[in-house]
Amino acid sequence: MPTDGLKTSIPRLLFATFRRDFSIALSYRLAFLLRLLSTVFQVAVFFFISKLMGMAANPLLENAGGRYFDYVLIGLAFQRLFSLSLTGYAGAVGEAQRTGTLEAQAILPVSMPLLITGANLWPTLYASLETVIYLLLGVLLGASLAGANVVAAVLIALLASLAISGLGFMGAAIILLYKRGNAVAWIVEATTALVAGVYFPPEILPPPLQSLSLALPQTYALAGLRSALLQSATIDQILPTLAILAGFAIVLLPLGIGAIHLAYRKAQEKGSLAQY
Amino acid sequence: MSAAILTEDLYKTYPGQPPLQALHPLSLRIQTGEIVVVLGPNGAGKTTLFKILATLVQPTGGEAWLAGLPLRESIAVRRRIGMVSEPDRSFFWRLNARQNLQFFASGYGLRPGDDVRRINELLELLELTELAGKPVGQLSSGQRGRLALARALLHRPPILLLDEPTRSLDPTAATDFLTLLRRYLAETPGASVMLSTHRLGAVAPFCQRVLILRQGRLCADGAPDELLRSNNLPVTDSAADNLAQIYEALVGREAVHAH
Repeated sequence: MPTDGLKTSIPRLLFATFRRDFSIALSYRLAFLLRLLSTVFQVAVFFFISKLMGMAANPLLENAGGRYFDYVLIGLAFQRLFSLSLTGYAGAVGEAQRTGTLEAQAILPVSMPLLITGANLWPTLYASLETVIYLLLGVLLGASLAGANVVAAVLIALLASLAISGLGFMGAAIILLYKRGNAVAWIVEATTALVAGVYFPPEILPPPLQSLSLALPQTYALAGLRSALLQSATIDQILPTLAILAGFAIVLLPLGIGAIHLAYRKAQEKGSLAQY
Repeated sequence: MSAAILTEDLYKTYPGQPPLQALHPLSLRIQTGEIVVVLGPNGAGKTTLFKILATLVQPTGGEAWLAGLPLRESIAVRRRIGMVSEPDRSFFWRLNARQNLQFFASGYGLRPGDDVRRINELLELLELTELAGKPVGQLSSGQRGRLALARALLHRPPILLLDEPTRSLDPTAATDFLTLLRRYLAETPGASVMLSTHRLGAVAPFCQRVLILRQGRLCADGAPDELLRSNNLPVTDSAADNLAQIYEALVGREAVHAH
């Protein structure tokens, strides 16, 4: 039988999905440009806010050398990347449902989590580039990244993205099943912005919210990234952060993948895969 | 002869208030190489049957095997089927025809080089070569229909499931589609096809067997001549007229005229 010799190669499929989404993104050139501009504006806004706050060292910003601009720059630069790990998978499923391509892809001889993972590759690479752009803009505006330990920062970002992807898969499962209302992502994203240390240190929050921040991988990731990029922390020094993030990933990833399998099965029972 | 598609008491009830029994227990055997046309009015359960066989919908009960594989081995089953359903809404419209086929070819596991050759072959067979660089959004419905057939044939599946592939096509485009399908089948002995359509005239010349579904039940199954005789209908020289007679007698005059 002609089909017997065929076996889908996972790296080739992931690359094909990446190439597909990159080509689609290229066809929306204006959106490309506008998103880049939004990066510039966001950095500029926080630069002037930090000027307003004054240059005096703030003890709560210790891991940013006391400078608010340096502190918030790391938060902004990585928040978009983490946010994509959280909401990108659900977004990809929703888009495929709306455009009608989900069923056409579901008939391919590959698993649903693999298709969903592939669909977030290009957005993740793009968000990573944005992270670099944020950091470069920050340096141009005076952020102090001279002694940054880039390898340590990349390790933290990778592990954090994996851990957060577990939550992102759960959000995708909800969209697969209920079509709308990515509640997990909304709640976690809003909570992250408030408590994880994106815009201000969690230490200024009331104790219950500080406790909540400890339940989010983003909190550890952002603290570790500030140590690596602003305080030149070595790999040894960030090992505890890496261990915590690995722990989150080990728990959340299987849960997220399981949630997608379960939701896909339920959608097959309801016959609702093509609905949106 | 081995069965391409075999079902035993396969049925589907969609959950809801009240639950909807879309397909009543259905047992059928489609032989390897057989070309079967599924007829029935809208809501007869045709799409549910196709989607179950394509592993997109979970049956409530019963069993089914495709190319000898049980449905629960869904990944292996999908390697052996090519499906066309809703061709208009199943492509990445910003990508061109070739880019779309390349993506799906990777999904089916075609090797680099083989994928390009196979895509070129299919584009030529389905008269799409000139349109390969055009974004799918700029293709006509008829062209998208043919592109959907090209996608279904990428991995040379032994079983084709074509669920109303001509639904959104004008009569000329529908006839073109079915003519090209017929050409493919002539070149591919052993391919089994299950096809639903309302274009009786275009499908009649190569229809070997008819299944008629009504309200989720199989109400007729046989070769066109057999069905004519068993319903005391005259056998004419025109395959299209014969099929129209069967449809009119077993599904209803209104349904024939409606389509």
